[in-house]
Amino acid sequence: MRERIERVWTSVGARLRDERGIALVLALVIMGTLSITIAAVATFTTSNETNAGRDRDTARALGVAEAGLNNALAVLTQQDSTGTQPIGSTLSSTTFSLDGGSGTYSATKTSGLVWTISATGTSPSGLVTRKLELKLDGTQSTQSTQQSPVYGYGFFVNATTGCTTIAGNAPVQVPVYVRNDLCLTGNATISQPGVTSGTLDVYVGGKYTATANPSVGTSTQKIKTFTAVGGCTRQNSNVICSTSSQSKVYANPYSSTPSALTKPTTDAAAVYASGNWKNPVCSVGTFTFDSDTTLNASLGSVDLLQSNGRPSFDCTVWSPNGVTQIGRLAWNSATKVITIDGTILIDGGLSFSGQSSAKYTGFGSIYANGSVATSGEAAICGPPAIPNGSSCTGNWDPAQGALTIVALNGWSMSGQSEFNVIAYVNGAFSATGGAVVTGPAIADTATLSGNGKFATVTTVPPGTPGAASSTTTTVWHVLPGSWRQLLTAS
Amino acid sequence: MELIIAMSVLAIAISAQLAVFSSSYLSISRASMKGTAVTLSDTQMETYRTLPYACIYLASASGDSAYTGDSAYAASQITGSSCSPNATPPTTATSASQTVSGPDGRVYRTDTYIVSTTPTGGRPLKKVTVVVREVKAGVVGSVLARQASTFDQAQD
Repeated sequence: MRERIERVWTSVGARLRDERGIALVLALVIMGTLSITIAAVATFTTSNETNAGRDRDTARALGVAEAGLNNALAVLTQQDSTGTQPIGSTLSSTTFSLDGGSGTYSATKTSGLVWTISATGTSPSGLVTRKLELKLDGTQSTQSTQQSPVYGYGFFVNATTGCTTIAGNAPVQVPVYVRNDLCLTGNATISQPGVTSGTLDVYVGGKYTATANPSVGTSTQKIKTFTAVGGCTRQNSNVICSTSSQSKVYANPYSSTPSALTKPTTDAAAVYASGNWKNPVCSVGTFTFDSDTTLNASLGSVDLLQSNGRPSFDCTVWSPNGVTQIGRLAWNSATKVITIDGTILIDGGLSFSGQSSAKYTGFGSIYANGSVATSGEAAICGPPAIPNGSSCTGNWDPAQGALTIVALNGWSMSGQSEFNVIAYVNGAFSATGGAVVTGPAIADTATLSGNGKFATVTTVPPGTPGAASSTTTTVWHVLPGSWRQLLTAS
Repeated sequence: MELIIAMSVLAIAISAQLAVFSSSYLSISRASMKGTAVTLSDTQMETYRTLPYACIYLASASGDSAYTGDSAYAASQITGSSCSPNATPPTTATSASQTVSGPDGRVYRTDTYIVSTTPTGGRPLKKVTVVVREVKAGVVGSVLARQASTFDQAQD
């Protein structure tokens, strides 16, 4: 037994001492080790590459998310430009793409002038998404524009050439402003109303010319000021304006200092763009403000009352988006009452045929894209006056209701008629015979040969060119400190 | 014989390892460059985030073929020379193309594209795209990093 054990030990010892094959074993061990090392290096390298790529994705996703916030800012500042959208309004989720990435943005109005915007940005690889939030804060400011001072003159003529002629017998008893020459003929007078004195201003930017026997003021009722920049002529002879015995101009004081006052401008295109004139909303009857969708005088001339035969209507025009009421015009054929509210535009001229007789209520303006004409007996009476044939009984009080008729292409009146309105005219204003406009008449050129009977108006109604206005502007800014990053699933 | 086989096995293993080390070196080096490029593009984009809206413009919209060949390039880029009453923006913000040294000491080229874009229902925005390219021996190479964003004037 012992010998046997010794033989086994001897055999094992001999095999251990024999090194054949050990090199291959070692080589395989070393190769295995190297393989592990290679795998580790490859894993590290790949991981490093992945991390670098993720860094890039993270940066690109942030850029896309930021773009989402800015897109929302750009949209909200337009959609809620006035800051009037109610609290709780939303900007629905909108998707967009940018530089290979994609994103979404949405917003909710969380208070009167604050929008909370959230946006996500996803990298082009789709592996990284970032979510951001921001608050948009609005600041409101109101800018008021004073009413044009031209309405302080009952008769304002903006002509820069020619002579504005007044030839009627009835006295003009309102402040007068004529930018160029003023010619008074016959027995025309500009005089103080009633027993007053020292209240009227008369301004002539050019020369004052008197032919026959006109006068300005009287020796006992002098007007407040008389300005004739180009001097005075009477019976074809130059006279000194302030020498009233020669000029027949009675004022205190006299002046020759030019004035820079100009007629306010109209923006008919803007008025037209403000409303959906083709499709008014009528609760009673119908009325056509425009027959197409272009400001082109497509209606020709519109007889507003058709000698009081027009059927009743009550129509409202809204803004193109249907949100804001632009104006309302109504006619009640039973009571003969016109109701005006806001601004109305008729894509055509305006005429008043004989026997058109009505009173109106409300405050507003009617733009006529053409001429305004009346040739028969007509009366448009302002409250509290009421029509009586071709005239108005009682005195119009513009504080109770006022109507401006804006004639975009001239105004011509003849025959017996009385209009208790403010006449704003682009082009020529002509009143002959017994036709009178009792509100201010503002025109480019004018001829008066009838019974001029103008008055000034303290406050012109809305929509009148040069009316006082108040504009509220909302400026949107990012609320400082409101930017924050939110957690995302990725 | 055994030794030869062992040596051959080791030679193959070591060769493979060298190859892996070599490619790993290149890969790590490139990842490093890309990381640096991302940093540079971030820096450039952050520059615009500090500027008033009116001051986001390029002094000149022209560049070499690498610049004009990018998908972000448009002939009608936003250019300007001042944004009064704000202070004139730094040259780095108005340069369409500039060569810069990264924090790793390597040279990179940063190209900037600024165009106008308008989201549906919104007002115009300025879209800024920053592209960082590698520069090898003075030759402009491939794109290492890019990012884009838009800017609205409400950020002022």
